[in-house]
Amino acid sequence: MIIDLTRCNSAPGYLPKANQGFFNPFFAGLNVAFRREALQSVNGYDPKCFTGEDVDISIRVSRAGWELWFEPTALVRHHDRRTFAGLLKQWYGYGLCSAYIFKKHVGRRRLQCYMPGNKRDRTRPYRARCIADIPFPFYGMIFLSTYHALHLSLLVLLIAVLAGWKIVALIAGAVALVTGLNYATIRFEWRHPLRSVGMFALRYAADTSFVIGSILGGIPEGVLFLQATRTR
Amino acid sequence: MNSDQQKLTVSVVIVTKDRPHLIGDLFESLCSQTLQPEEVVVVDNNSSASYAEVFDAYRDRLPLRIFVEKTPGIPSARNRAILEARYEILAFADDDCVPEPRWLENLVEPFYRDPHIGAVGGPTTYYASSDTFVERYYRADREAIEQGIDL
Repeated sequence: MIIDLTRCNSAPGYLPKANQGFFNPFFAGLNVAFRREALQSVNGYDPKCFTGEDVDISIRVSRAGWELWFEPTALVRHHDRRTFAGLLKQWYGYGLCSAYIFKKHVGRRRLQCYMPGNKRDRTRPYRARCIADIPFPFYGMIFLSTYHALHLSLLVLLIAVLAGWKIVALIAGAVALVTGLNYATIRFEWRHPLRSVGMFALRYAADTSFVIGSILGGIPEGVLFLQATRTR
Repeated sequence: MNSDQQKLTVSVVIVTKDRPHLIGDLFESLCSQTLQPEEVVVVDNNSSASYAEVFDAYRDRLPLRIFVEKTPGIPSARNRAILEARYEILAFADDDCVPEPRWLENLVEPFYRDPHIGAVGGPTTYYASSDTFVERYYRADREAIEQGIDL
């Protein structure tokens, strides 16, 4: 899970140093300026980062000792994707290189699990908390969002139904219902039910292509990588 | 910028692939920037679409320098741009974005403040052009994040 700090932090100033494990501040590639010396000190962009090259270079520039400064008045307007295919392709592409960047910068042969933290908790810059950090035969990072909780409970439900475990099926079904409703109603507007359902469908599609991209991108790197578009 | 400080020179750097229909909006906004760059380096990442018309339309209004990078991928094209750019500050803009008029001035200003600043970044918002449902989704997403509803 990578969060663009510049989208949620409106005050100008220095960004935190890139040392927060997987959670590193970065500037989106469409609105960033570099001192030539800073670019040269890190040998430019990593040609393996077909996406996320902006995340990778921000981490390297910061770790090379340079400061990153966020300037909210330097505003850029962006032509967002117009089509469903464009949306799927964009999120799939973002997912594809995530595991490589993770392994390159913070990967350890451990399984790290994160969950969204308290929204009011300002002590954690990304409001994410680590819920498990355990020995594991290969690299692993799971950001347990509502999306994953929903699919995990559906999987348990399926297994329980096939195995005939009634109580487990009942519990898994209840958890799936609650997390499913939570996921579907994140931004539900009762005045616009059709629009809201459409928005939910697009969010689900974006999450799914992001997750599939992340998993597929992780296989050649030997990384188990699960993330979602948003932390909730 | 203090008067005793030397003016920083700026290259605006654009990597593009098959978006001649969008890059005109970006060029137009560069023409009206309050800070004019010393050069605008455009790296075409081996597009199949032709840019001849839009390049010709802006050649007199912007200090364009155009290159073709055949190795596919944004990082390779950006590295080519770094190689070709000649000035101290490299400001990257994408072919599908439209900076506000004071964008470059505000993006370069912090570099005067502290020599340890290696990178300056700014925020992004949507450009209201056509109005497909997918675009409305992105817009709702951006607005929710800006309001801190959902993160």
